Amino acid sequence: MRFASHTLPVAAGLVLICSASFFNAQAQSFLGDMLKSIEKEVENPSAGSGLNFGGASNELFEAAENSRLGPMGRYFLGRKLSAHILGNTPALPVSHPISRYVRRVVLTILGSSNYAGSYSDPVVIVLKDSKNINAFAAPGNFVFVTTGMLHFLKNEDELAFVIAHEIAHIELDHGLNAIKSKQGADLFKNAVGNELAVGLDGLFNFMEDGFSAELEGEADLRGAELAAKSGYDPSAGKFVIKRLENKQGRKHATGYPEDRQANIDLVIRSTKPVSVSAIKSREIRYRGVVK
Amino acid sequence: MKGLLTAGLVAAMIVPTAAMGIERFEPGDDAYAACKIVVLYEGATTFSKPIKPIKFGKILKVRAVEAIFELPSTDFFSKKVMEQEEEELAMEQDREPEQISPELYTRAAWLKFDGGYGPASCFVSEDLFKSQNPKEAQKRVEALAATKAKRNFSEGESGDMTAMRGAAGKAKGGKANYAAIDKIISAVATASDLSGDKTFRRTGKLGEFK
Repeated sequence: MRFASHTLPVAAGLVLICSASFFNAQAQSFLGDMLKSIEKEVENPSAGSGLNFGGASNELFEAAENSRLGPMGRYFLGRKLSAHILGNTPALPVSHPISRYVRRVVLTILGSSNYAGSYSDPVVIVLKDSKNINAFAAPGNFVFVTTGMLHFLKNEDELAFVIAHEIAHIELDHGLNAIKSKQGADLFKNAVGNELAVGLDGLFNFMEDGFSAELEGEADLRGAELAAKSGYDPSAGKFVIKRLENKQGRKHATGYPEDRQANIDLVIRSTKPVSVSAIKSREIRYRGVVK
Repeated sequence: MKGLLTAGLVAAMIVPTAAMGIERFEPGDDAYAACKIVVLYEGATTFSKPIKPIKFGKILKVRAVEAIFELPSTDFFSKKVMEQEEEELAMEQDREPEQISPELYTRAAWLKFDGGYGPASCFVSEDLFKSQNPKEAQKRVEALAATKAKRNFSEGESGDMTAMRGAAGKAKGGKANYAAIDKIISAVATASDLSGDKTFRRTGKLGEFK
């Protein structure tokens, strides 16, 4: 729960230290003005920004500015992370029927997402890894699925839920927020005399240990919503979760909500039932591609 | 105390700069296209008819904002987080909490321009656009991956990671293979098949055909 129970209150507390009226003001423009003042101070301390930082290091200010990525920065971050993944596991060609099929499911889900546009075309990669049942995503709309996962799943609606969960992580910016949270905490630690440990370390920690249960719950809920909004049956998510939870020997990182299926139930109750024939026809095409 | 204040200021900047990676726009604002190509659509959905492509760097005037959504509760700008902070602050100052303006905790997923609708995630403000060039963007990413982390993935290192919290199990990360990812990226760019995608949705009763 690093993100939700530790870092967030630290950061929120720091925000309060900074400005008593912060949340009642136009927060973004306030921060933009503050950033400009700080940059001005760093560039020319004698210019008089109105803020007094004494000997604060450029490193701190650069870290703040560097965390503002935009679509292009997210793309390069996703590309970097993807390069490391491909450094270990080969991928099916983009033209492979399985890659093309998974890509269409991804594009369908993205069409329902609030993050429909990315710097470059979405990159969907099927990893040739039959041993690991996994799927994951990186900022900039990079989506990965292992062949192990494809063989584990039973139909297209289950695949849609898995992909929608990952797209929810992208849409909700969980990856970059992980870095930012880690940075905020580390900058705080540095200021009070502890080791500075900024960087992707935060994100890689989340990669290894998983996001917090709160974020995973959020991704489950949003994922089910995205799947349903696209026309898929959200209840397929319940079956996937159940089978994953029952799978023996799975090295599943801790940090999921206790009752993941409850989030899916919320979506099911608020969604019009999907026709059985539509589910069946999608299952047939799934089996036609993923044999 | 000075160090604490400085860290507070910087942390405050880091945390809320990009709620969900989507900036807040209002009608009348200038929006800078920050994706390689942004397609404008007839409606506020990629399932509607594409009208025209907009090139990177083009400045469009926002006429209306569409598909407004509330930021998730884990976002630093969410209603939940801001209300909690306001309540604490009000208690500290011995006053009633003020209502948080919905403008602060909502964003638009789509922007309406004169030529059609574009996804908000592809548009940025003038200020952020200044950093939207490959050199600066890569510099920032490298800075994020910078040296003082306890364990980062420099180009030569290899390690074990579960990327972005997968659905299950672990993914192994190794020495960065940019040739492999760049090959895939260029293959993706030439593999676009809009009509095939539409057929896929129609036969599956998905998207606009659900």
